[in-house]
Amino acid sequence: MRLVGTLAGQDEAVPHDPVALFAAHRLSLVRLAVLLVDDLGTAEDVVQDAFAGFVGRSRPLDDPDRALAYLRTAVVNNARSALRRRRTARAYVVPRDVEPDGPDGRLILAEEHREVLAALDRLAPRQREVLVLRYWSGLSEAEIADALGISRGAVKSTASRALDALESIMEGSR
Amino acid sequence: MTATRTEDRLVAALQARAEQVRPEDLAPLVTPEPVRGRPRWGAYALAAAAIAAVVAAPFAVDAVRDPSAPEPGPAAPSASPVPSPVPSPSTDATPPAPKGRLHTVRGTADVDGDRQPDAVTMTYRTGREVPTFDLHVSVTLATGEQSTATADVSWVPSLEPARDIDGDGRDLLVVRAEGGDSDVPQLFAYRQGRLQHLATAYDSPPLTDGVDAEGRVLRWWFDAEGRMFSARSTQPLGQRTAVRVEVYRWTVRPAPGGGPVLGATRLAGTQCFDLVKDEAPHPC
Repeated sequence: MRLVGTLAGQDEAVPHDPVALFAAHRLSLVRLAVLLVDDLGTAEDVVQDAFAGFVGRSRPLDDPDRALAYLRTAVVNNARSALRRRRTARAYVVPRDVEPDGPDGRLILAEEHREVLAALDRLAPRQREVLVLRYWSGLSEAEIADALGISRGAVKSTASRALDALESIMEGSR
Repeated sequence: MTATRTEDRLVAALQARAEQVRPEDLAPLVTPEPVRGRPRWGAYALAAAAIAAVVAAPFAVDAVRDPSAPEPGPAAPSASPVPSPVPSPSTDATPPAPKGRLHTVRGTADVDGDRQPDAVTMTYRTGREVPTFDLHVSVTLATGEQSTATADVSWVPSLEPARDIDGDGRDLLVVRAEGGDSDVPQLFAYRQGRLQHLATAYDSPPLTDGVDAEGRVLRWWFDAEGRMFSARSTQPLGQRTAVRVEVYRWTVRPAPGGGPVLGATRLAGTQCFDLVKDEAPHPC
């Protein structure tokens, strides 16, 4: 199995200057957010707000090398809040830019990918977060536990149940 | 379908979706400037409530204005006759114009217990150059009377369904601002003729979702009747997912200074809580 690992982060050279950090990792953070909230506009807001919170911390991080991990956690938390607000607004229709009409057509998702993403959308928020952090960000169980504030055991069981649920949803849709 | 096959499909789908977002798709980079000395909400709850009275009038206009009109902001604390709890980032006495995207969420609740729906509006701004979200919560009673309160949150707030935690017919407005050091519910009560942001009593346990400095898990929730509870594990979580917890019931009570605060009363015994299986603790 291949992991993308775009935001594994801990082994990357992380700039200590907040602006450089943001510029260097903004795209990856927005991509992480879009996998959690579905639309680009909300994803950009989520990341911008996460960075605003990071810059405005009342006390510096004990370990500057953990800045990226802090931002990742903030993005996940803000994405969860955004999803919660959607549930609160009854008439809200989730914006879909899953299939942007690119000029050369290369942006259109394959049917098999759309099926997986639709199933992912039906999972509980925590299950979706664990799967995205595991299978797109390429984080270890310990790193996911750190990002979500839960135990490694909870990560393991949540991931297992989420995969089972994903599989059931996709099988049931056929 | 095997688990490995599902995982491979998941990896491919996530990568394909992520790569749809290209650098040129992003809005121009805006980097917020740091602000030193951001106050904690609890420490300034009373001052914030005082400011609420000052900002109420302009906010009420903002809440009902034409959405297509330019966005006026609430009166700046520096222009008020009471001391501001927010340190000014500069010595310029001219209040800056509000920046960022204005978000408005509306709902209804019966905040005064007259069995008539009252209009609730929450506004906040994102994309600002300061790390707070300019949160305002206002209510317009069925009688037409308006009142506004503010709170300092450093994470994007969301308006939750209102709850009558005391069972006295008066709903409390509930705002979540999840993450970082503001991962606590922000509750607003209509008491003494105005909407007030509730601080927690000094002798109450932490009201948050997370883990405390000693590794004990913390949770808070509402039951089906709208009552509010929190729990704290008796032992550090460690690698376990099932723990025993102390459970607290939260109610609105008068503070020594006269205003309302949130206070907790511990329930007898302990309960069981599995972080993976349970939404809330339950009798063992």
